Amino acid sequence: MLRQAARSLWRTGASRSICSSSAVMQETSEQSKEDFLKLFAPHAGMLSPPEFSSNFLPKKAAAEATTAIPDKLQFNFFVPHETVCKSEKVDLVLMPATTGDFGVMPGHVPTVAQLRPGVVTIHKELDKVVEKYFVSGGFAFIHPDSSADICAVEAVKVADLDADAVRAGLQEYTSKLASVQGKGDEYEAAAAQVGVEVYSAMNAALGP
Amino acid sequence: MLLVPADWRVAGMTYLKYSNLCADMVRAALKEPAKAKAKAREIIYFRQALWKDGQPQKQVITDTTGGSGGKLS
Repeated sequence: MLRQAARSLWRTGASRSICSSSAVMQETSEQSKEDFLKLFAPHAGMLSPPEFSSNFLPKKAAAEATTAIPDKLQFNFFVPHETVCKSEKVDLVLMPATTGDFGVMPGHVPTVAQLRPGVVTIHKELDKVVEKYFVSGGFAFIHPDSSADICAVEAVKVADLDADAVRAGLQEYTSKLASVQGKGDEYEAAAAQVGVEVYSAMNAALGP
Repeated sequence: MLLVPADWRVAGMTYLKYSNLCADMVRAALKEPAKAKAKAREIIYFRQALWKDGQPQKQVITDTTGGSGGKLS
């Protein structure tokens, strides 16, 4: 009977590799070292505090674990003939990508996005200083260091768009699309489709 | 839906053509002082000649000074 008890104890011990001490293995942290030293101090007498084995281990690169997210986004906005923004510190940029609209704040995941004709909104101060540009298309790059670049072919201030010209153009291209569609000339149909897309975007930008 | 190429690509237009076409349309819809400056940007002018035996054969001049006005092709 005693032999069986001893055997079952040995079996559980082997499967769980229990050591003689019932303490659970823990990582040393600065906090646990402090706590131990506090408990040790009243009993120390003339003894110097014991060394911890972790003091002799190579120091981990703890510095890289916490890379703070910067306060502002560094924003560049280029057009072939002009620099709209260069290394400007902004809070938020809203961009119209082909996959949908999204906003970029410091700490955004690195992305490359193709832009569709639409409005880029730059919040230099969130909701206080806001600039809107209509871009005809281009690309946006967001880098891991919280800097973003937009490269567009044409970028105009929304205030510079002529509402009458936009409405007229939209009508013209919509009717052209209706007349060309199904005729067989794919190129003309595609170009008319592009016209409708661009003018609708400009129409939407000008607002109701 | 994303795997299907865009209409203009299916029709044989290159991205460069599409991109410049969009830009032309945006420029055509500008208000006056900005429009004149923008039109100047649209102009493409170049001359090309095929050479044979050290002599230029035929000159082809491409000139869009009149402006394509956001029109096709």
